[in-house]
Amino acid sequence: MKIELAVRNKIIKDATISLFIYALPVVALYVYYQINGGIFTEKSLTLQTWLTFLKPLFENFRTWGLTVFLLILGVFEFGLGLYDNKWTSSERKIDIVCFLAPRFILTPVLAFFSLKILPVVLPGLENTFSWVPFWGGIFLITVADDLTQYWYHRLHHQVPFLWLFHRTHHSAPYMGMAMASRQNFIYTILFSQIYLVATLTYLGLGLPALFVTVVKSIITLSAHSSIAWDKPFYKYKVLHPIAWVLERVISTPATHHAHHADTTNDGVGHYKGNFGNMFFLWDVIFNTALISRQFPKSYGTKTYKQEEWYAQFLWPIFKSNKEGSPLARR
Amino acid sequence: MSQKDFQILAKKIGVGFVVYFIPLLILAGGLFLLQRLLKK
Repeated sequence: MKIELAVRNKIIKDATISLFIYALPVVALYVYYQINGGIFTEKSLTLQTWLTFLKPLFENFRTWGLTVFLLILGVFEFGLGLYDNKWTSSERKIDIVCFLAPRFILTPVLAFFSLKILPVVLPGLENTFSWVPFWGGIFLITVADDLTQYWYHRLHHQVPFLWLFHRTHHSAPYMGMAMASRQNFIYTILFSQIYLVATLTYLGLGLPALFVTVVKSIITLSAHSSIAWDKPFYKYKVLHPIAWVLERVISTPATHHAHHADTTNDGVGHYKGNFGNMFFLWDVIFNTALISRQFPKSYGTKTYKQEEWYAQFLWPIFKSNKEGSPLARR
Repeated sequence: MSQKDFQILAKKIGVGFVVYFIPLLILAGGLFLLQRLLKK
């Protein structure tokens, strides 16, 4: 199955624009140093005083805090009956495996990449960018992480042979915090942006990376959650100006749930767009956005056959035995 | 896994590498250039 010509041309056009967006943080730093008379010190990056107390908070969140946040969110969702009767034993198996496996496997893989591979591939360059001011590092990591994930995600929707690596994330007929980690493992282990952030961390941008990744985790988890925190912003007119800004800048439950709908072209569902993870801004820039402030009636994918957890988790290593499934042996 | 599966995996790894490498080239490459420029 080939990619449609119009889709391919739009990918090429938007990817070209992205090259300029990637360059923006570097340009911003150049302008900053020019304005400051080119003053440049090579001392290690230090955290501003008012942010110092936040650092242990963010470090703890990134290690164990995130898991606790997820579990609390999950308990709330379950307690509020938000999974209805859709969380069957089959779906539970997939969600639990997808939740646990990356925590046990991805962490050592990333550690190996950072501690063993990078020093060989980029010898002597550890912390070479420690001169980058904190705000510059935030800008760099934000673009590096989130724009890259936008592209990784978008390509898995628009390039036919990549879709089956991402289908697991969309197969569930419900939304919830577990959806954020419900992924085919090959999709997860090859997330380009995590290796990009690891490389930039090795090069000296670890501190801004810490802050960006924590904030991003909160936004993306909240966007997948079945607790629609954004609804009051649509309901109360006095909050509408805030809603207008929020929904165009970050991923909200409304815009991300639209992405998980099993419909499109109905004014609400939009699985052909709304690809943003932390920032919805990329969808606005590349015209892949649909903002309706409504929530889809149903989620998932029309081709879902309740495939086995191992096929959804590790296709094409394991295939499904369900007849008619795209994950079945061909 | 069939040969076709291996080919798909190889293509996927290739896509992932390109999506990693091009941003790295621009960001890290840009910072290296900036570093040299500012040191002058």
